[in-house]
Amino acid sequence: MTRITNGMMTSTLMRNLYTNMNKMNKTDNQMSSQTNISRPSDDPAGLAQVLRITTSQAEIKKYSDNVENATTWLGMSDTALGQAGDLLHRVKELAVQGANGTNTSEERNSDADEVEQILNQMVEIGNSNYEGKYIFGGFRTDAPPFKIDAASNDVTYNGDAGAISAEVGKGVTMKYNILGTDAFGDKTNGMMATLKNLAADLRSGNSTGIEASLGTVDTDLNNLLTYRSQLGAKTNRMEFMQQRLEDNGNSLESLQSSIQDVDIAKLSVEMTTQQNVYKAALSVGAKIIQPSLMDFLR
Amino acid sequence: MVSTFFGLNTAASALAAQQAALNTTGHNIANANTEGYSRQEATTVAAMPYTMPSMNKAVGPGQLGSGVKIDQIRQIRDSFLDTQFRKESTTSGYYEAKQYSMDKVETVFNEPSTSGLNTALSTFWQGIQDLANNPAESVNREVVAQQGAALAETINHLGTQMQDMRDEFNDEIVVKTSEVNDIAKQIASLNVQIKSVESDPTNHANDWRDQRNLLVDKLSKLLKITVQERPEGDIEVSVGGHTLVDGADCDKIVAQKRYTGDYPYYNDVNWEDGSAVNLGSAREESGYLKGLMDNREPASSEDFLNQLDALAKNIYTGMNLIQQTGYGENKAAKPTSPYDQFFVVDESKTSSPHFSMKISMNDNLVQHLGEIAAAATPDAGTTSSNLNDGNNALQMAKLIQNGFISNGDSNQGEMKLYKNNALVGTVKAYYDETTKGIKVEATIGGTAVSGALTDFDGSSGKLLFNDGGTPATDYEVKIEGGTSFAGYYEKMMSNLGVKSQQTTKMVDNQSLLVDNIDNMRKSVMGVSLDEEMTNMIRFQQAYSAAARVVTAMDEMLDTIINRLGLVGR
Repeated sequence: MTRITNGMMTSTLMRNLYTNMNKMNKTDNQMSSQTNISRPSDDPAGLAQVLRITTSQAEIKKYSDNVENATTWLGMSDTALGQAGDLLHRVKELAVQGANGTNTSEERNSDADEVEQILNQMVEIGNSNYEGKYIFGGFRTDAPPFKIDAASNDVTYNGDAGAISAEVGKGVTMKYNILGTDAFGDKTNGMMATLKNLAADLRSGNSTGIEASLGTVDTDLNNLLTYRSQLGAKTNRMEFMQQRLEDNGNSLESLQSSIQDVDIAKLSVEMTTQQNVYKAALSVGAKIIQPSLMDFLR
Repeated sequence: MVSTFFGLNTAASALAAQQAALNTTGHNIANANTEGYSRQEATTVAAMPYTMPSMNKAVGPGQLGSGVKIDQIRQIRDSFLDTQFRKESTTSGYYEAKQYSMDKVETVFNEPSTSGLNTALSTFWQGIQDLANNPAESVNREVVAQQGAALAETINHLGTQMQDMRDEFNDEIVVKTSEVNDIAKQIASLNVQIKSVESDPTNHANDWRDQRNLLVDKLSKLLKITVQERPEGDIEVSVGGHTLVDGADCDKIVAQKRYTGDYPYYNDVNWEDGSAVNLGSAREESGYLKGLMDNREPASSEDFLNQLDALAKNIYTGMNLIQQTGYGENKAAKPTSPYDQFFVVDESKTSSPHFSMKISMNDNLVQHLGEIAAAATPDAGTTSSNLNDGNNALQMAKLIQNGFISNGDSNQGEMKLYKNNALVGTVKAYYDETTKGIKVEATIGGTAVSGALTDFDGSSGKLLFNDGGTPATDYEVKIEGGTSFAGYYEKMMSNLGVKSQQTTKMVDNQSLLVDNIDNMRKSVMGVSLDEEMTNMIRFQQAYSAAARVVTAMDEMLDTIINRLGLVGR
């Protein structure tokens, strides 16, 4: 039989009370901070996950912003090319009309004027900008990429061949700009050249030239269509990307919640239980440590 | 026949003995709550019976009991339990010290939170993404510069706090050293007392011994000690094979300032003769003092300051490398000094050898935002502007996100070299402490190659390594296979959590063990008031009974003295 002293009983009681109080303290902390993990030692593996999730969420948000930005840019490019396409259709009509050998010189001149007008409009479209940045100039977004010489109708391209890219997903970079030279051409290639030559041919009555321009206008229209379909495909990809990012973000949020968020109902029950245990320990302890033989000796 | 007053003597001895026993009980009760007190007991033994056989023996049946005498007043204590207690106390002391350190480190890093390093890294990356998307916007450059500064400052702050914490432990080492000396001195003087008291073999220096035992208990928490008791009553206490207390003499331990090395203001714990105190080998959990020393200079798996340094070095190396592959706003050439560094090492910030406290945002870039190399193509003046080229900034973003930190040596960054989509070699980049600069070492096909990182024309957005040979060959650089900055930090924090948890568990376990043994000790040496009450009754009854015997004897003697031989008067 072990000999038990008063000292032993009080120290055992105190230790058990401390254990209970420790548990209550921890639960209290979780309740008031509404998080499961306040320091790494609470749940080391969970903490690593929480850190990673926080980083990933910031990444997703940024990618999402990038996608939106790219999508807007793509949209603007598409609108511009669409307008250019409409204009080209009108040019085709003019070319067909001009190919008709029965035109008078006044009629041909007025057609040439219209073609020149359209050329100027094309230059304006080529100089479209988004938030102050010119979208068809490659990296040269600070200055209008196209300049037309009023006398010669020569269109010069002052942009460069820069590819503007953005990161739209982890490790996924996408180039989202279209070079002005590719879509619109300049004084020697593409639709700018076509229009300049057509205007000149109409004025001079060069019917072979005008007939040839019918073909080149078609080529230019196809070129536009090619770029528009590229834009369309990229826009689709961006939409898909956006959806994926959103889904990812949602699942990360619920994962984080499952790790970090407290289950209030569970905690409340735990807290009540712990409080009851503590009270019981206190009351029983008080009853045990008080009486001694002295109370009963006369 | 015995003498007339023989009986009175017997009763008188009973009175004396019971009184002594009662006094002892009183002493026990008085000291019921004294720390380290072991209960005392007056052991009684029957006095020498009358009488030994001899020539002149009195006639009559012999061996008449002659009463009681106090044999000794001894303390009831189990020295084996004491030894066990001290052993577990030493381990407990060690882990308590470690727990302080772990708690503080967790508080310093403060994860998970929105103000920690994880968030600073993430915010920095976001700023760089914005720069990549819109490098012409000066606000974006401003933001990147400010967030770079914020990142560097966060790292500085963490490093400084960790170092401060270690300096505090150093101060505590000095304090504890003098505490050890105090205790040793007190033990020595108690040794003298006990030895002189116990020179009379009937004496037990009970209370002195209790005091000395208490001191030895305290000492055992601080250091791992071995205690040897001598038959004369004094003890020898040794630490790591060297004697601390030897009877009346005690040696001193000194907190010796280093004056040299990385931490010249740290104190080493030495004996007075200059030799180091053997506090225990690397993995031994030997006492609070050792715990403090391990907190101050931890093993590498627990050295979070060093790990922070490694992270800082890699951020420095990586960002600077990419800054050097790009072009500033409207710049036709790559950045030259002082713009060729994104982060700098500012030695004036601290005298500590730790990199974390020295990393700084390059102030020249803050003052000249255009020099931040966001573009991957040069500005060819009027025919081309690289204003809106953010492809080098994209490389910076990739650096931060991908696995740059080498899995082999976390102080180095490592990138892979590819040719025609086949892995051909690696490039190691690291901060060299001796040259105070970045070293780049490439290995292609097993041979070392010198060269430099360049960048392609931006449309492919690829980072290249040019070996500068004849003819010069370009290899594609991919940042992969290692650990990303955030990944490295996550591992660090996770490790911290695990170590902290372990330490807490050890502290709890040890305190349970210590309490257990202490309870066993108390069971043997503790005062039980109920028991003392019972004893008190016992002795009191015996005392009353002995007093009655005296009365009885007295009445008998009264008959002899006053009424014997009075016939006829």
